[in-house]
Amino acid sequence: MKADRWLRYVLLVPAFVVLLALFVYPIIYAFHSSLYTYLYGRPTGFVGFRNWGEVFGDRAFWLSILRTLIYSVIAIPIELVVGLGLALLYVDLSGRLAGILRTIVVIPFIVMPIVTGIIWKLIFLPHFGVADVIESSLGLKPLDWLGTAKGATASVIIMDFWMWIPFVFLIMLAGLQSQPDEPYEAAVVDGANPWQRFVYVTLPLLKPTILVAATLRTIDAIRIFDQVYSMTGGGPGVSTEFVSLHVAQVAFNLADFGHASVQLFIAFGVMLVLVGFFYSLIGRENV
Amino acid sequence: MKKGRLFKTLRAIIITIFSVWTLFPLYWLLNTSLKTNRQVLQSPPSFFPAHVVFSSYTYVFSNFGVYFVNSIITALGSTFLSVIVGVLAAYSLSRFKFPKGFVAITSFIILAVRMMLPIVFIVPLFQIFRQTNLYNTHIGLIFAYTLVNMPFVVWLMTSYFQEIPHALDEAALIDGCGRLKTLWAVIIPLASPGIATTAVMAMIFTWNDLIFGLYLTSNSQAMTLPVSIIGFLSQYQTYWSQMAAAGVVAIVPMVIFLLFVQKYLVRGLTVGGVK
Repeated sequence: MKADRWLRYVLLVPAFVVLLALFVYPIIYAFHSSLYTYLYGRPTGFVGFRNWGEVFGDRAFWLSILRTLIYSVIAIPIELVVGLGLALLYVDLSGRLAGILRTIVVIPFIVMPIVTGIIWKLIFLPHFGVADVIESSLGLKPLDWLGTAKGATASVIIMDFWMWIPFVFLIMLAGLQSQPDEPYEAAVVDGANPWQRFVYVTLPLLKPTILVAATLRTIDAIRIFDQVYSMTGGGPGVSTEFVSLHVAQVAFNLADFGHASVQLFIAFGVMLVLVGFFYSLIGRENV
Repeated sequence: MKKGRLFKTLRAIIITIFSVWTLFPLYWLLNTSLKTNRQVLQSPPSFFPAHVVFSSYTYVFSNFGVYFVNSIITALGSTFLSVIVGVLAAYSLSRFKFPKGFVAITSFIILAVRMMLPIVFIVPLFQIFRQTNLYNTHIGLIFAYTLVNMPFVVWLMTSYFQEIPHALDEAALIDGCGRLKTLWAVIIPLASPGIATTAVMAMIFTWNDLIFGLYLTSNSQAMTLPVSIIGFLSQYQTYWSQMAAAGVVAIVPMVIFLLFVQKYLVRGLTVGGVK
């Protein structure tokens, strides 16, 4: 139809207006900002690529990226393994109990992340928190969770388990439930034991699901902000200042939009590389 | 396939532990909110309030009401806007042929927006909003959230529309419906579960998010609930009970919402997880 030739673009216009005004323009704006020095949030002069050079040598910034990667590398594999394990246990459960459990599992996802941060702060509070009670009932010396660098990082990771294991579980469960029966029947006929069925049938069939779960988790892990902001505020010191928190600190506390803008581009680059890596793995699987 | 009794017992134990682990933190929040601050600062802490007091809730309702309303306006506004804009775009992408590369570039941009760290948008948007008087307004915040929600709507709805046979469009067109009428009267009703799913996801994301509100608003004129809670947190660091009550009030709407839309939420969470 003739009218369709125009309509196809007309329907896209609102979406493109949103993307141009709120995505393309801000990115150009940020690039422009990256070429200026700022004092108290006002541009004070054009300096070319000097900010870029300075950020590449900025130890504090790269440490915030390293911190984010370390947290991701510790938290995500554990979440994937536990989430998959729970999904395997749950997959042939049915009835009322299954329904209740499914509701419970969705809850951590809908709890406001800053409230999650407050909850875990209450739990890890020295003397008044639950963590202390558990440790002393096990005969251990209570740890200073929020007051030390290692303790605070561990608290963030434990909170992360609470938030994200249910999410991984749901994805794995959906993956398991969509698997065909035939390969399993064939494996049983061939005399495979449960472990062999898991390694040679379930895992290969589930590989795309696992990769998608890993990708989604990686994206969200790099973006971590809200729950850390309310739980530790990046502290003690800078021990839980992940990359978003660091950039926000440079942009809004130091009002240095020049350096912050450079950091935005680098953070995005890191993210693109990681996601590109996962997607190439997924793509190879599908070919 | 028969499973042994040992397996079943073990499974029951693990599932119980997992449920307790998931629910206990929420109980702890509720427990803290029903104590007085003096009771909270007890060592060791008590696992239930000695006597229940609701004073923290009275405090929250009289101090956080305006932020609660701001959050509702922002969440509804942004969900509405991103669903309308996103559905139109998704219909076009799913039904028409475009020049080579056009769809690829569009999907890349949409994916890029979805993956991006929010702070990447916020720093330039803060500067732009300051110059255009959109800073600290509902409409500015709604725009900002639409940017993050709309790509999700487009992405999800394109795949939903693709599952609806093109033959239905053609039948409606032959019967004399225009394209827009076809979309409105035939396709949208069929895709309503998908639209519900995306709307639920957008709503929850906007309600729960801190970071956009934190840097794009400055006072009760537009500030959202999570931002006001953060402000409270930094100002009154030992008002644990009030803080917990504010937390309960902030999550209750979404929990109630969940009871009605759980089906859609689970679908929204796992879509893309299964090819």
